[in-house]
This record gives sequence, structure tokens and C-alpha cells, in this order.
Amino acid sequence: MMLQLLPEFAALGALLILFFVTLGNNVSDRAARWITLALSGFVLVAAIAAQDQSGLMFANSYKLDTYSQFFKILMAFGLMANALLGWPLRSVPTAQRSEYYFLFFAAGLAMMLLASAFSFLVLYVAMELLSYSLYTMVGMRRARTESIESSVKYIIIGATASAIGLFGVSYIYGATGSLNFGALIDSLKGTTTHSALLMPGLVMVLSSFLFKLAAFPFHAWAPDAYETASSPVAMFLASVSKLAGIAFLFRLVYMVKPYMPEFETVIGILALITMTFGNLVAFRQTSVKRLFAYSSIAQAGYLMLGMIGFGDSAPVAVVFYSAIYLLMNLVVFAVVLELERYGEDPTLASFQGLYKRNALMAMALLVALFSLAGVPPLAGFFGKWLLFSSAAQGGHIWFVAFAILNSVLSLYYYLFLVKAAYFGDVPKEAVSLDKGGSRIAILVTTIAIALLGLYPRVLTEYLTGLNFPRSLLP
Amino acid sequence: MSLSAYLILSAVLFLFGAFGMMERRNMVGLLISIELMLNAASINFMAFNHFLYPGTVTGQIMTLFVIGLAAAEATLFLAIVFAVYRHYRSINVERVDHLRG
Repeated sequence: MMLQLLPEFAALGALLILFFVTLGNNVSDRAARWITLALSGFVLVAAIAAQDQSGLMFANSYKLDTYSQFFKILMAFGLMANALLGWPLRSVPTAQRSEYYFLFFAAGLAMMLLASAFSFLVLYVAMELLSYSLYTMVGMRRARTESIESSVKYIIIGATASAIGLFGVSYIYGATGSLNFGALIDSLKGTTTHSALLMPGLVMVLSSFLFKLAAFPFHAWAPDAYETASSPVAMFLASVSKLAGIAFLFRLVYMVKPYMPEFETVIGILALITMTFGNLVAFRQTSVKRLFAYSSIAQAGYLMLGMIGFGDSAPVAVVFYSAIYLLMNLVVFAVVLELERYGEDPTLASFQGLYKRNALMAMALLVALFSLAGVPPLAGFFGKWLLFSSAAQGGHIWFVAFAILNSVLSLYYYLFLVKAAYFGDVPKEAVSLDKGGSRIAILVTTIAIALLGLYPRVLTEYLTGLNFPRSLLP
Repeated sequence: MSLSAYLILSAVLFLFGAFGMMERRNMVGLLISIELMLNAASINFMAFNHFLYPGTVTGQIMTLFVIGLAAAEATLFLAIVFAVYRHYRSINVERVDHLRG
């Protein structure tokens, strides 16, 4: 069991080690950082070592399969990248930095549990652990009191969403007599007219997950949280924490979809509203972090569209795009972090003349933004192509047409940033960008985005080989 | 008492909670509303367990988890409300509204 749950135990161990090491408050910032990096590396190794594990555990409530194990690798990679790129935590108050790392691994553990959750009990506990960590992390901010305001908004919306989800779970329990997903699917299969409680229950659970993805109409917390939280936290929210929501929501949708066709239409329509809303509101933003909050809302819309795609191609499309999404957001937020040397929030103006100040970073930004917009030949284009073609195969051709329009629309505000970075003049008070430890990490990630666009088959063939449809269906 | 009596009670409690979330302006009032919604779910779990699936304990275990997590949530929420009060000198959501959200 120890071996099967290696990544989870590694994250738990990291959490406990950081808790005890930082308890006395006599560990220097630097030491805490190196400990975090080493521990996140260990979690990544553990996740890779456990990639072939499979099976149902704990009275069928925890499922290890190729899907969950691959997501765990992605999450562990994201954790490590966050630890590496997020440093130094300029905008996090010094006294809270060790707690930040503790919560970092608590959230990491919760995400891994979510990827494997196969019962509503595990789901509920993991989701709460993740949410509690994030509520606290959002409030950790120096020199901006509004961060505590967005933290309180986040917890109010989040707690309401989880209460609604829990009420939905209670109806599902009433209808099936069990909290297991296996039992849920059995009861969906067995009877043509399921208990009247099942459908409202599922809708309530679904809506609480839309909150995790910041999808319409549960998006209101995201822009405030991204803007006022310190940038490493915003990076964490935008990159890894979203993967957890995607990983779980897709597992549920994929299992339920064959028996409830109406589910597909609901998710499709919500996906369209989400991406359109995200793209349209992103136009008017001057704060860059707010802009990326709306952009990530729109990206969640594309992913939701992929979730209702054709059964055999949808899993690869969703997992591929999740991986790309992680890389693109890491690059974008790494650049944002470099620009806020003193912990202030970058605006569109701080991107002016980035090319003249640091050509490499401007190039990385260009690649990541074009990839987010879906410009060929970058990885984002191929990822979107997979998502949309899968949805089209699933018979949602009109949704796809609308999504393509949306993705053209999004190019406009991404180009805004590119224009500022390449053609703007360098502002007088601009900080020097000559030094920066994350330089190599940014470069590597950018090259990965470009290469995955040119040779996507390397990853898609690997993902196809993992045979997700078989491991997702019980 | 039948199952439907409990289900109606929990639905009414849940709606009270949801109504409170929309109408309350005091953060502690919001916390009470959230607790009402969580307790409505707990009543459902216990009632289903007792009437439909006697002899099993799934619903009871879930209720225990809900109680524990609700306590943790209240602690965290109150801690954040304290921090809000220190900065804004108010715990009214309308006064704490500098962001555009």
C-alpha cells in the first residue's frame, strides 16, 4: 500500500516535515526554500515511480489508474515548477512564508487525492482540504489589504458552493444507498427511470465543481483572488489548482455522460457562456493579473467543451490540453513575477518595452500568449484542435463553431500584451531585468511549448497508449 | 415520523440557509447560513440512512465527517473575519467592497 500511494505519502511527508521544521520559526527563509524544492522534487520522483500502479483501495473509494497517475505526475511537476518559479516570495509577508510552503503541500496532497477520488466522501474531504489551503494562501499578501477582502469573498462563495455540493451528495446517497461512484453508475445503468432525487443531486455536485474551475456562473471569486493575491499564489491558482478541478470533473462527467445525454447539453452551454464571458471581459482589463484571471476562465470553457467530446478521443484531448495549459500559465505568470520586482502588481504599462529590456523574456511571453490564443504551430493550437475535433465528433458542431470564434476573439487581448512588450517604449522607472534565477526554467518551459506544437505526437501517442477510456470507465 | 418529514425539514433548512446567504450583510450571519446548509445535508444523510438503508453506517460516517469539516471551516472563516475587521473596522460585506468582483 505504501508503494501504491507513494506520491500521496510523499506529499503528506513533505507537509509534516515542513510543519515541524518551521514550527520553531528559527529556520531561515533560504533554508525553507531549499527544503521545499527538495521535497517537491521528491514528490515528483514518487509520482513518476508510482505511474504504473492501479487498483481500487479503501473499500472501493479510492481509484488508482493510468488517468489518476498521469494527473499526479502533472500536479507534482506543477508543484515543483511553482516552488522554483515562485521564488522569491516577494509579496508574501516574511513571517508567513514558512506557512505558505506548508499550505502549498497541503494543497498538493489534496489535489492528488482529488485525482483518485472514487467516492463522494473522499471527494468532499479532498476538496475541502484544497479549498481551505487556498483560502488562506489568497489572504497572504504584503501591502495590499484588499487581499483579505478577496480571501473573505473566496471563502464565502467557496463554502456556499461546497454546501450546495454536499446537499447534492446527500440526495445521491438517498437515491443509490452508497457514496461510491461504482454504485452511482450501477444505479444509472440499472433502471431506466432512476429515483427522482438523482438528477438534482448530480446537478448540485456539478455546480460545486464549476466553482472550482471558476466557470460561469461561479466565477466571481477568481478575478479578485488573482488580482489581489500575491503573484506566486495567483500562479498556483491558475496552474496546478485548476488541474485538480479538471481531473475530477472530467472523471465524473465521463462516467455519467453515457447514461444522461442531457448532462452533455448543460455542460456544453455552460462551456460556451464561460468562454465567451471570460474573453469579453478580458478586453477591458488594465491589471494584468486580472486579465489572466479572465483568460483562465475562458480556458476552462474550452476544456469543458472537450469534456463532452466523443468517448474515445475526449480523454486524450482533455489530458493533453491540461498539460499544455499548465505549461502556458507557468510561463505567463513567471514573466509577471519577474516584472514585479518589489511585489507591486504589474499593469499593461509595466509590459511596455519588455523586448528591449529582456529579449528572452519577451520571446517566452510571445510564445505562451500565442499558444494560449491557439496560433499554429504552437502547442496550444494542437491542444485546442484535439478538444474541438473531439467535441465535433461527439456531435456538438455548433458549439465548436462558436468556440472557434471565441478563440479568434481572444487573440485580440493577447496581442495587446504582445504589442506592449514588443513595440512599447521602456518606461523610465523600469526595474532592471538582467538578473533572475528563473531564467532557465522559463526558457525550458517555452521550448517545451514550441516543441509540443511541432511534435505533438510524442505526447498524444504516449497518452493514447495509457488507454484512458478503459481506466476511466468502471 | 416518516422519511418525507425529515426531507422537508432539511429542504426548508437548506432554503433558509440559501436565503440567508443572499440577504445577510453581516459576515457572522453568513457563517450561520452556511452552517444551516451543511446541517440540512447532515439531516438528509441521517434520515436516508435510518429509513432507506438501515443496518449500514455510510450516512452516519459521512455526517461525522461533515461535522468535523464544518468546525474547521468555521474556525478558518472566523479567523479571516477577524483579519477583515482589523483592516476595515467592519464586518459588513457592503463596507468591505473595494474590489469590483
